[in-house]
Amino acid sequence: MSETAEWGNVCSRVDTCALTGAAAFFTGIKGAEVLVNGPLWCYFYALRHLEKSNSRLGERFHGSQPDNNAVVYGTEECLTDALDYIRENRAPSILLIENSCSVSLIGDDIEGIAAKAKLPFSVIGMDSGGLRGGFAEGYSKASIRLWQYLDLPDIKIKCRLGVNLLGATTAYFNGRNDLEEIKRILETANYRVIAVPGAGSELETLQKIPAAQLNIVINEELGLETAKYLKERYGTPYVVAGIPYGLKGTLRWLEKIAEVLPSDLESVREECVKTQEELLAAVNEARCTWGELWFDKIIVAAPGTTAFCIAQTLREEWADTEKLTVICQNTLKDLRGPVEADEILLAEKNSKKIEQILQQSDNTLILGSSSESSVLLREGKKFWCCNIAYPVQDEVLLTTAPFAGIRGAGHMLQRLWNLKIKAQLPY
Amino acid sequence: MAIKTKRMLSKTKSCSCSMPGVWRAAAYCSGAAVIFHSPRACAHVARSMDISAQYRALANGAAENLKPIPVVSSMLQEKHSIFGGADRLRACIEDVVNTYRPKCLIIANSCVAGVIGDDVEAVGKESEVKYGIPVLTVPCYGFLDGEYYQGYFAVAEQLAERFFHKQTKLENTALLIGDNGGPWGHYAKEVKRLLAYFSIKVIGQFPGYIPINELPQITAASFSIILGGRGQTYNGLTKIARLLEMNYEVPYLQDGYPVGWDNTVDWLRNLGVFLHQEDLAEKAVVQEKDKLFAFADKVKKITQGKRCVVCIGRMLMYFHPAGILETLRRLEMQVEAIILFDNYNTKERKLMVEAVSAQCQAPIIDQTAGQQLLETVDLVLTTHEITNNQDIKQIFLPMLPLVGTSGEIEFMDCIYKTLCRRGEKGGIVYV
Repeated sequence: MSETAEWGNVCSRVDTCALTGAAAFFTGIKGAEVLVNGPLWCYFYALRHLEKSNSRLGERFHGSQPDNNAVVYGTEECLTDALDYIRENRAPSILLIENSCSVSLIGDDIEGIAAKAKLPFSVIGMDSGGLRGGFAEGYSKASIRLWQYLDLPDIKIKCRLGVNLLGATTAYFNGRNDLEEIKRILETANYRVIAVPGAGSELETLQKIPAAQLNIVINEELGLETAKYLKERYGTPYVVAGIPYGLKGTLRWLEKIAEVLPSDLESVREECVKTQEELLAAVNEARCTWGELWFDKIIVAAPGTTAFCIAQTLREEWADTEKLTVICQNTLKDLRGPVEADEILLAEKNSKKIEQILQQSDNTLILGSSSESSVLLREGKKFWCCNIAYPVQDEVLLTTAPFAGIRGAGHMLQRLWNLKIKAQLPY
Repeated sequence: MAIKTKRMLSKTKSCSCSMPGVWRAAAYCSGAAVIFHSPRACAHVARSMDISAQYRALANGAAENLKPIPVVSSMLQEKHSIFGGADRLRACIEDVVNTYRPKCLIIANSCVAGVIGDDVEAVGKESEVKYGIPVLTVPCYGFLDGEYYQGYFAVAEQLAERFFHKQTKLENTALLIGDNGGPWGHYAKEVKRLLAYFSIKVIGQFPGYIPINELPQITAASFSIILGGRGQTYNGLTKIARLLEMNYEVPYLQDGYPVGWDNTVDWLRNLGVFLHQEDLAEKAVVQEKDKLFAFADKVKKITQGKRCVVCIGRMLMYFHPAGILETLRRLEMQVEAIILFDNYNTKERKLMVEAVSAQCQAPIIDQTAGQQLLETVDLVLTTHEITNNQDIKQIFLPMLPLVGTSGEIEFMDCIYKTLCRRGEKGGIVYV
């Protein structure tokens, strides 16, 4: 967290803690499990957040439940109990033991305690929790901690057009579907996705990570530090590509990757042209009856990369507005801000302005979450909401349709048009 | 194979955090502001709770119109664990005072602040002098030295002590004490509906829902009603009610938790005696009974003779089975067994067995023995979602059951609709 972070009302920001982020990364490794060495309350909140994208997570996510006494005398007893349970009932490929913020201050040697428990699987320990930051910081640190622990030997013969996707997560809203679309597009462009750490790859697959010719950073806030680490350790170049939204956006995204690792993009181009024709015809049909997809003001509020990437495409390909404000939940270092935005606000630095903007927004399209909608609702404002980030309380999303990529372009346009049409109907 | 359940917790140790309790006790008291002396993300737990409650209220058709007060985190970082976080808190207080100009400031402590050893009380007292506004602090730190309700009650008591004044009584008015989803929640709405039999008007709900500048007037209520519960919740709320009675001459209705029909009748009669309006209470009982039994008769064509099991995995202090079993009897359903989940210790299991046996003759069996039975019954009522059998029809038994006649009717309606369900849709039904 930066020194210049501004105090502000929580309504201006949506973020879980590093404990959740670290757990998201490790439970994103197929077969891995997580033990939270922290209060049941913190464990439960992380569980409830991560369960949204993984309904069976509870089986692989454990808590040691320390109490008052544990904070004074140490957590060895409750941690050992929890480890005994895992040894007897589970067989994880690797176990992350993460200390919550208050437990991390006690200074227990959690890896030492785990060693005494003689577990037949690998164990990684780390301090986590809110003192270490938010979701992104936890995810990022857990990821680097894994690579440090594995300390994989370099693979000299690289896999031709082999890429890893870094900073991908299914714990973002519709993240699983977006990831599948990203993989599909890369494969259509002849790339070979070797590993997606923290979003589905098994521990065995992760051993091959040094074989990639390029690391593609999807969500910068989650993956950039890992990309830097892997470049330093294995010399693998990386590109902070972001998330491909829209058709032009997808091609631009792919071209950015191809600049570093050239490939034949023709199949993707063809698919984009074909989809563009279909979407244009359908949108023209809608325009005939309903007019233009115009919103007086638009606010995009989401995790950093999502906000930047979707804002650019929104104005360039999907909808028109007088003013586009982007509220970015993370401060990004590498990814270029959306040139089409009129105003970019960082949750960390502009929380008071964000609070004010949300309270005063009328006739506004919100591409955000139920957190922003909640403020506008209470202010009695007129607005339309298209959810692109958690928390989501007012929508059920069940299909496999992504927001990202070529398939996502149609899906997002469909959602935006249906919002507009619904708003104009008397029923 | 034994029954598998979701989110089964087997410990009885401290499990909640006092900070959301602190916030909730002032959540909609406009004029106040809350500081979480904590890492940033702790405040977002309160924010998540607020958003969920807002949408639940909307889903129940409530016109939720109160705005939550500002919640600001002091954003403790790693370095504060070495040098202490008191200066950070002072700076945060200054910022909050300048930005929001609160009439009252409330500070919740995180477990981190507790481990570091920050003297939050001293900072609070010092800020009170500096800014000339009440600054309330609490004696619990996150999950240390207290839980949700310790934070909640500590703030409620201080709000009462600092802001309440004796007032001339307004006739036929009541003050609700407790939360249970706020003024838009089922509990408050049902109590207001039942009070209408006695022409009593509710003038506020404390703590949490009265603007700071209206707190001094709230003691004008003729009496208070505790929005009950069980165990520590009820004890804590009763303490507040007693404080109101002793210091501000606001008597309270004692021993009232209108869960289930029998308790609702007791509650109405108790209220009648309290208000010296026994005749109105009897009139209310008759009308409510007609309503309840008319509904039961309507749905009995579906419920009568249906076989069910009740699965329980909650401690007796949080869940008493009497009300559920009473409803099942009224609907003339057949309870095949009571399944007790494996998370009880010996003492807790014994208490639950005694409570169940006093109400029902059905056999009490364990989680493993219960699996086969689940597949043969028409309905399962359970405190924990069962995950390894998608074919059963299951209804979730909530920690805080719906109260009064409306609550009973809603519960019976839920049973009726679930029994009407065809096919194997899986999942669990929430009342």
